[in-house]
Amino acid sequence: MLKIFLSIITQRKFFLVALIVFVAYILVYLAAVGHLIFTSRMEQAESFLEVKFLTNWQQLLLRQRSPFLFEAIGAVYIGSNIKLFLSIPNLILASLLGVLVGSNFALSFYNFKRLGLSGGKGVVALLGTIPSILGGMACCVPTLILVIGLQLTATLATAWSFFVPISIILLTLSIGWSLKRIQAGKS
Amino acid sequence: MKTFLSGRIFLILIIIVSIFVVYFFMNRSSRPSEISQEVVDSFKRTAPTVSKEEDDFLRLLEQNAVSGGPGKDGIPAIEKPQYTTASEGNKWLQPNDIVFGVDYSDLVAAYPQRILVWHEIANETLRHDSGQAEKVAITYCPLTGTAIGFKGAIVESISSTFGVSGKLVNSNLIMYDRASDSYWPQILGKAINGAAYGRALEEFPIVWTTWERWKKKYPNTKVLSRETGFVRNYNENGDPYGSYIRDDKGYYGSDSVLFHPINENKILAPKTVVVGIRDEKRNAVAILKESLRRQKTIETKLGEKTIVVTYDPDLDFHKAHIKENPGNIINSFDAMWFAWVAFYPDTKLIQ
Repeated sequence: MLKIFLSIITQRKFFLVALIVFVAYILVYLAAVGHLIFTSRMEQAESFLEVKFLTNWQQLLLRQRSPFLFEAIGAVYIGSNIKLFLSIPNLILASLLGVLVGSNFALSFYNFKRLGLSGGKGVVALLGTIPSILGGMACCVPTLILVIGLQLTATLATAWSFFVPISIILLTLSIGWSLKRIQAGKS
Repeated sequence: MKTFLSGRIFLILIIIVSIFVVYFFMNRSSRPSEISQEVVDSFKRTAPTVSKEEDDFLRLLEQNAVSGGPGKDGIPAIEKPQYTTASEGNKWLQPNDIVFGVDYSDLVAAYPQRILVWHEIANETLRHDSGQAEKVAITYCPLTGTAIGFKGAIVESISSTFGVSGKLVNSNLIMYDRASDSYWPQILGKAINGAAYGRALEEFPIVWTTWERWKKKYPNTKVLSRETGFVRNYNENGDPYGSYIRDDKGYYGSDSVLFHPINENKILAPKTVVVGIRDEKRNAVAILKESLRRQKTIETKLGEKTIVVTYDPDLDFHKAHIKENPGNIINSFDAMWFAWVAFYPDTKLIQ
């Protein structure tokens, strides 16, 4: 299966799909966890791109805010309106999820393009990305709950913390499932 | 086919087990820390007498403590607050931004809500002229709209800083003290478990007002700096729960509460602001803030004592004192009605 996967992903067209989705997903994920914000900066920017680290960054490097959400150790300021929080574990997590989502899209696209299979089921499989986005929002008491109109219970709060690993499992299974379809389609 | 299936199940099991292992290790920090025998003995020697009724109530609160999402210290308290001048504060604070003003001992400072919404507690140490140091905590719970100042002296010999436990009861912040790891719901100001069980913290007033009002009254005030040791969005749109200023107030303007309170009373809308006053016997009075603004002075009974609550139009805040002794100030603070009545279901309400 790995061979099939590599043979697909190394093709320019599918690689590009995976790359675009990977970048887009990372941006959405970081915005969802509040680590990418669009806001007016009060101070005069010294240059278009600035990186600032906290003096106590070593203490915060692996410190958690909530399950699967880590403290930032600095920030990147882009222009006057964009601020990206620098948290290495979060960036690794976002990248891992981004690779899985990107791979899912590339394989769905391959199914659709090369094998003429309906892309619908592949897209349904991407529902697995939703828990990871929701899980990231658990930075504080999730206000999204208010929008949904639920009251938080201990069970729901606990379940919330598992959204990121649930996403990883769902996305991994969906890749396996897509590869199986491709294998069956080829034979 | 069989081999493929069993291989796949094995893989899923490995992934699930790995996630649980990672989760366990990631949450180790939320376990209670070791408490020294000296601290335990010190607490035992001066243990307060807790009545059966009080005991039932404290246990009920402990049983109803729920996780708010982040773990212990997931919302980090500010440990060594840095301050700037008021003119520096003017550069980023709007005139109508909420600040929590402190005028206690030598400390005259404004703690912007925009900052405390991300930290909930600022631990400060005051150096008195006598050379003594006093630990105090400026605390704020966004979900119940309460700002209360606590002195760190839990017992005479032990003064502590506080952290955010990650638990809530009646949507209210539960703090923990770093000396005994006991849990203290902010509105109650009493420990509901641990070695400090049943003890109450001494309080000092915190003024819920606007930046414009505060700096007018205290032109030489300090302002809590955004250099908190953490990266957060302290800008105008940074409050994750909504805004007290914008038309779209989010959580603050909605009738929904996030966690089911122990006691409910729908005589007022849940987020209506009341001025809460209570004593150690759990006698409680809630005054509709809007009524206090109109009447300026309200006299009422708190248990057997008569208290006088006066409105300060300059700060849009209030003070309460025992009628017979104007120097005997009782702490009064703003609170959302649903939270106040959840802790004090027998409260008197003045509308």
